[in-house]
Amino acid sequence: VRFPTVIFQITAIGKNTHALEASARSVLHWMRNTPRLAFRHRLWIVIEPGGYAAAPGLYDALSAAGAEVMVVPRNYTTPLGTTGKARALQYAVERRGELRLSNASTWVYHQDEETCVGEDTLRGISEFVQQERRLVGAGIILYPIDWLGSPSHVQELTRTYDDFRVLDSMTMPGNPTSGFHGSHILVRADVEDDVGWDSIGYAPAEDLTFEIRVRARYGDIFGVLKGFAYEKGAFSLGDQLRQRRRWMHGVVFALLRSRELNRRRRLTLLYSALSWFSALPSVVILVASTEFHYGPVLIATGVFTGFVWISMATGYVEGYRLHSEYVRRTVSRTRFVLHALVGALVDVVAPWYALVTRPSLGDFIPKDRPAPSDARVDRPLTT
Amino acid sequence: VEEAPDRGESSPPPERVISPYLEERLEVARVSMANLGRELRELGDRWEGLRVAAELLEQEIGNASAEVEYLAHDRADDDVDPPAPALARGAASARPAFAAPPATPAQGPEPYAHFTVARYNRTIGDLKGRRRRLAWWTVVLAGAISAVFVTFSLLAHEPTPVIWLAVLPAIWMIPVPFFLVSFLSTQRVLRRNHLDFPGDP
Repeated sequence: VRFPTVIFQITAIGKNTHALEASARSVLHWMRNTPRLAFRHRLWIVIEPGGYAAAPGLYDALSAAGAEVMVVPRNYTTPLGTTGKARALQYAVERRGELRLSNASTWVYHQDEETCVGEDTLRGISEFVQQERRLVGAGIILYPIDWLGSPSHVQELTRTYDDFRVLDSMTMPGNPTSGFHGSHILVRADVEDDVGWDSIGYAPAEDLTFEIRVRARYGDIFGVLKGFAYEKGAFSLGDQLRQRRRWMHGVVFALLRSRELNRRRRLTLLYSALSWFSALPSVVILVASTEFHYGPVLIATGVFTGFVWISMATGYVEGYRLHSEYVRRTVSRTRFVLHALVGALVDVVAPWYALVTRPSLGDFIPKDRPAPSDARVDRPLTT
Repeated sequence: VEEAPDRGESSPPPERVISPYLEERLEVARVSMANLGRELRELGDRWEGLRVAAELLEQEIGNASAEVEYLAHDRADDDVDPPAPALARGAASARPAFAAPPATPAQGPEPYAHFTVARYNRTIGDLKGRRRRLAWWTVVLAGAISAVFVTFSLLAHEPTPVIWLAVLPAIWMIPVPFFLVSFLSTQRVLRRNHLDFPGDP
């Protein structure tokens, strides 16, 4: 019997201290309370000096509880000089090299600062590393923590349902609809450390760049990771907008700068971006139809209208149903629809907003905002 | 070597006869020696695995003890949280050691304590259970909505617009392949992957 090691790696600035503490403690809690896990674990918290300075006592306490806190030195630079999260991720890569952990029996589970794990997450990881059929795994993320039913939170529900599309695409040759995550992914350490996270300058969506590189070098080694990860959505529409802006900047960055991107993948990525960009003109053209008359053209477009509308509505309804075991707050149907429309409008505007604004290192999304007492995650009747 | 002859005075000098089995015995000994060396080397490798297995055993016994203790004493105090972790191994005992950072107030019991396999299985099981129904309803409703649109468009008998106006609705068609692929992908991943954990409630 030889168990692999799984490094639970939380990589963040480190200023959302409450969210980060919950994530770290969720790992410690479930490692102690989940039976039949066939791996050893380490918990790495990789943060920036500013994050550590915000709550040194907290990080010391987490160290005492079994976490390994790594503060990325201010003067640390990568060979290509990347900045932001990619820099911290590359630092962790180098630390694994120094500690001789870049091998086939070590795996890295990536968490954002608000990514809590559950019993199911650990069981999924255990099964994945035991099977060893795939070298990279990604799963479905729920957003039940501090769920308030606000427009940005309602919009987040659709991401969970969309994850099924992401998982299918990711495991298909060439990733035809460009699906991947930056968190709730499990990578064998030797693969991750071989590929690395280093880029020239700031990489706004380092996860997309990483996925492209892994696929280019190792081929289709992606598999489905069972179990959910549990996160929280952006608290405000502004945060939602800035988060989506970063994603779009990541896509543009990959299209323009990624040399590993083959022609087919470049086209699919371009199409994904184009689909997103088309949302705002679509709404404008719809509104304009009250003034202009498109005539017989509508006979052709009308054939597909039903499918597009139902697909979008299904995202909200099924997203909510997937969360129903975890969130208590009930939003009236009218409010739900209204919030969905507002949240969707932000997503409609986001790519254009990204086009007219520059990528920013300062896109710090607060995750520590207090939630009203009635919005807590539901408690189980039985466990 | 064969049985030693009688060493009496009258006996001729002993004649040493090599056993026909000597070579065979030596061969067996050589093989045994090689096996022993290999076993020793493998033992070294397996030692690490044994250590890990012992560690896991120790951890699980600790958890079981904590659970028994919880069931015996603490249940009345806390009827929702899962068993307390094995304190001797770390986390909870160190918790009061830090000063709370200047951010938000505490938000009650930790939410992650309720993220269990049972809930996961229920959620995934429900979705998989309604997969076909979901597909049929999507097709039926999409068809109904589209039929209404097309009917209205036909009944309107509008004149053909100028070309620059006519191309605009084409933008609505851009995401159609994406939504089609998404629909098929979701159905496929739910059909192909056994996402639940068998054997759990």
